[in-house]
Amino acid sequence: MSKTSRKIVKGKKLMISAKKEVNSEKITSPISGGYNHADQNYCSDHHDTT
Amino acid sequence: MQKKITVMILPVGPRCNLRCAYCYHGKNICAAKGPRKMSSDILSKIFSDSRDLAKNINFLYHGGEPMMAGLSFFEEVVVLQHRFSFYGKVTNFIQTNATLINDEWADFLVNNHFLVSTSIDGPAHIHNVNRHSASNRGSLYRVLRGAQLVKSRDAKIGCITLLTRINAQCPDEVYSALKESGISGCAIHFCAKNDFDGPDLVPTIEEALGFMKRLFNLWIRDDNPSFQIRNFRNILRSYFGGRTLDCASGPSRCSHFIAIDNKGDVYPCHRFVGRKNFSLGNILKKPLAMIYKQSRSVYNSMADISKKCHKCHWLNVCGGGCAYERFVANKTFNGLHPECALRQKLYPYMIKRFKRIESSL
Repeated sequence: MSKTSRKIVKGKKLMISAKKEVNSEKITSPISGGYNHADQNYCSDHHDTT
Repeated sequence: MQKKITVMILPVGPRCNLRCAYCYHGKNICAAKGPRKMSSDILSKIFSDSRDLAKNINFLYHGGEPMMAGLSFFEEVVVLQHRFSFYGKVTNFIQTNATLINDEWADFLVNNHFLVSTSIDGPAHIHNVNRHSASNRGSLYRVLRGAQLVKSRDAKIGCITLLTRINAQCPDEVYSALKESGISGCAIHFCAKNDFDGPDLVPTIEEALGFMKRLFNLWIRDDNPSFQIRNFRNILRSYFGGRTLDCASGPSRCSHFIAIDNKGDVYPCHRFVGRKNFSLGNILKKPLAMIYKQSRSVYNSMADISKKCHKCHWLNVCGGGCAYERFVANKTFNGLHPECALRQKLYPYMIKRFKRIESSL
């Protein structure tokens, strides 16, 4: 394996995770700005906010 | 019937066991009049009326410090929610400073599937400067103890971090403190100028931008999807064509929220509680669904963003920003959000980095 191909790209996992999340799109309902819980989005059913 | 709404319940109004220097409730915390705790009648009315608002309902307990209502109040919440048959899914959330969480509270919250979020501003020497009791006693030790009790029951806990001119100087320390606290993610809020006489803790655009850039780079370097920072995640989601997550990043999103204080007074959002001009009615005098329906004009005026925003490249990410913050900054809703200049610089910085990462994948 070449040196270049082994190079670890920082941010790669975050990018892949976000892309997967968007593609599977469970997240839908707006979250209160005054609250933050990592799991809150997964408690939401689809909701068109537009 | 709409599919979902978040009903924000303030069981003790703006009352709190802490006296954070930047609290948007200001002097209302101490000056709060009327009953200390929401009555069973009001709580029962909220649940019975909420059924007509939407199919799926998030109940978000906020404050002040909602746990000051006592465990018995929340036990009643669970009993009442079982009594009323809701049309869809009901989820309970609580935003707490976590200082009152003990084993009994932690058991209750986890066993009843309450999703918990707290507030951490950084390590003790930073957090305790602003987040302290009336006697100036710092709160971080108690916050972390409470958070740990929840975490030790295999539940996640999130947090809000308020950016002031104090922690804006120390992004590395703040990031480390957040990671070490064991929380699963955070959202950075910017300290905004309040309309009461408090200390000037609002960071300058340069201070806030420097902090956010550094925090973003630390987050990217960490590259850990199980630790999310909502501000960055929003942009990243948007980069892939997804929706942003929070209420402030879409101009019409305020209408998915309604708040009720301990006296039964209804407001469009918890941040307006105590502002008589924004009182929409009282739940003991009128059904909540009717109050909500008759308040269209208020929600519409909150969604009225600046003309400049409509032409802005970043509208789909920013949404014009929090209506309350636009109002406090401009005395009108259709002024620019106070973070506009910051966002105009931060967003392209982040997108550039995302493009670079994507191209190397």
